[in-house]
Amino acid sequence: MNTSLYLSLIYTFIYFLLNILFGLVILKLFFRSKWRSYSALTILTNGFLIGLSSFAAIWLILGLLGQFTVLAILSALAVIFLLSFFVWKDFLRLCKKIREIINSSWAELPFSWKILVILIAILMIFFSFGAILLPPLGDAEAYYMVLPKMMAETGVLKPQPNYYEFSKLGFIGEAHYAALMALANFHAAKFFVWLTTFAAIGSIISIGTNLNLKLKGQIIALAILLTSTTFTNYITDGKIDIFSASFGLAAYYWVLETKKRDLVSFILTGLFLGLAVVTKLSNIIGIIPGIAIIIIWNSYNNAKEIKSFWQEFLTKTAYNLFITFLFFGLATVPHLIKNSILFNNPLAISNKYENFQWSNPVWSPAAVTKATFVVKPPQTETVPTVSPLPVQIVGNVTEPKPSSKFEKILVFLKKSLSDFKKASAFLIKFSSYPIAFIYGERGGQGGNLSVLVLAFLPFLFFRSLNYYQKQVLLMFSLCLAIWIVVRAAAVTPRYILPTLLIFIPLVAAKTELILELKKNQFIKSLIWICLFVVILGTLASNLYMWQRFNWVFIKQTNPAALYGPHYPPLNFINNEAKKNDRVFLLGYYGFFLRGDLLANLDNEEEKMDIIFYLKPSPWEYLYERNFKYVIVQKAPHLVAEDYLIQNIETSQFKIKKIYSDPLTDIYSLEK
Amino acid sequence: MKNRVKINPVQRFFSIISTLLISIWMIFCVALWISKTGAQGVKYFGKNLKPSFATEIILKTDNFFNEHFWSLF
Repeated sequence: MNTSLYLSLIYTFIYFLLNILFGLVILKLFFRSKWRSYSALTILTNGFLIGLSSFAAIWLILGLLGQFTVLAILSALAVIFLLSFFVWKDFLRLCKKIREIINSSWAELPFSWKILVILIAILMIFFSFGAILLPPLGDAEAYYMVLPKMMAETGVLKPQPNYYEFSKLGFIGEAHYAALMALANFHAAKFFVWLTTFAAIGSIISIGTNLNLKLKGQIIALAILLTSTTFTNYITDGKIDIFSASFGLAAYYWVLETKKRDLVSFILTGLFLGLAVVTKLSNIIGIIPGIAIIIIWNSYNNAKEIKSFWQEFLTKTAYNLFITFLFFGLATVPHLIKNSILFNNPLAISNKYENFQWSNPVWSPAAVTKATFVVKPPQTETVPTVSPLPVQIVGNVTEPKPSSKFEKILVFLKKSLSDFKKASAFLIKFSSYPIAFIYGERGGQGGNLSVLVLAFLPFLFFRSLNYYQKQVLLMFSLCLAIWIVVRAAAVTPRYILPTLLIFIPLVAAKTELILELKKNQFIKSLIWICLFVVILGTLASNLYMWQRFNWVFIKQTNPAALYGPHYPPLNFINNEAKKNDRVFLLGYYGFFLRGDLLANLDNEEEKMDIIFYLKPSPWEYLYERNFKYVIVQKAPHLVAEDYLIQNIETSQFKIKKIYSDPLTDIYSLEK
Repeated sequence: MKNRVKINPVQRFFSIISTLLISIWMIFCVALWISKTGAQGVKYFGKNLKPSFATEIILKTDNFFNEHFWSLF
């Protein structure tokens, strides 16, 4: 279905609304009596997230059945639309409440803070341009948007041949990409990520309400969130980390609510926890320990005044954990079904996760904290050295024993000084580890947490923390500590994104406390200046998104500029190849290939055979496997291309280079 | 008459010192970020940017932090 850009955005918006309505229908069916206890924002946010996961499960099942057609998608949406009449009145009432809150908040804001809000709004608009107009980038161009495209165009969910292992990952964000690409195009799918951002914002503000976050605090939290490139990069690049962050934050919100002993809070904690883990497996390390501890803490708190404390505490803890993990399991069922059908193993885990280093943690603080924060693998000796012959040592010839008392003291002092230097160097490196999350530039780090977190960190020690603030701090610290132990070498904030983001409302709440003081105008002004400068700096570094928006008006037609350098060669093949031809992609980025070509790409075994020269006559090998074209994305595969070229003359096939540009070569293969 | 809370000199001293330290910390963090982000931008868009006072300041600050701060680790 070829639709114009504007129309596709309207589709996405309607699709977004249907997600909210679907979620509200489910919430109303099961938890209507509890609605009054929660804010309009919380209900809408959670409604959307429940709708998001429910639709994803439907799309997943349709894909597995091979019935993922436009008609089937539209029928499912139509059914939900009809069901939604049941909640339209509630939905409009909730929206009205939110509008009233926004209006009254705006009226009470001082002018200087209104400027900040306007800048934040401009930043969000920039990100919407990026989400809609930038092509998928990096991993999204290789996998996260490719598998959905295959499913959208073929109607079947199958592992992506060239990313077979990755296909074992969760399929929630990707399911929505598939639906929107089937209905419209990839712009619509990416715009949906931008809309999902509001769920993460909604959860952060909802968590903040428990942490005493008021109006200015909410603005500070928003400023911190939207100047964190580890969050904003995923709004625009097409990866699925915003979905995992939204689910993770919702799980954190509900676990804090378990203090109220409401069954619904345990159920929703479990559900969102399961969804967060399915969307991002690393959340197992990041979220589960913290959530389990808070459930135990709240059970203790609720039982401590009862006479039979131990009995009450143990039974309540066991029951609460059981309910939470029961619904955790329930949330993972669609994923388990998917992996059991596609991989014959419901618990299939991608072998890409082997580098989690559970068994062999690598701690490399020296490398992590270097100015460039480049993590280097442990240095190994490449040149074998000859082992020295054993020499019989007679006496201690290297260190003469100190003779006098004075010399003994001198030696002791020297040794102590050297130990102290070593210890202090280690401590400096260790303590600087968290700042790698803020200033780090490691390849693959994928963005940083906002500098405002660090700048406002001292306010955390101002006045004591309330009950919820202590719990948030505990969850954050526990996750970070576990992460540092098991994955020291990977300063990659996106792996533990929800846990890092939960720290934002805490810092914002404490900063707001300073703003409420009657004295200390200087610090208050400095807080505002820091916010202003960092938002302005982030705006400046995202100006290129404005340029893309401008391209829509000047009707930029250069495909390489619009869709990136991999588009022209892949589009060339789309026009050249017949239906279901096999293409060998010696590279990572296949997003712009046709769906049928993607479904017949080389598999990982075939790729390894060619890259590692396991075949004496590669062209024959390719021909035997029905490959018609070989695409070489040069940068990482020049050596493999050389190997193929060397074998052209000796082969018995007609091999022609049919396309070449600075990044890509394409060969055709015929007998 | 308003009841004014009297602050003793020791409290006042610590209040001033903590205000000063926190201010320095905030300015330092943000300056470090500006220099790093700015330098990345200048290097990234280097071909299209004319050398100006601002770009020079950004690069010099980045160099300064590289030499005197990041080299500590």
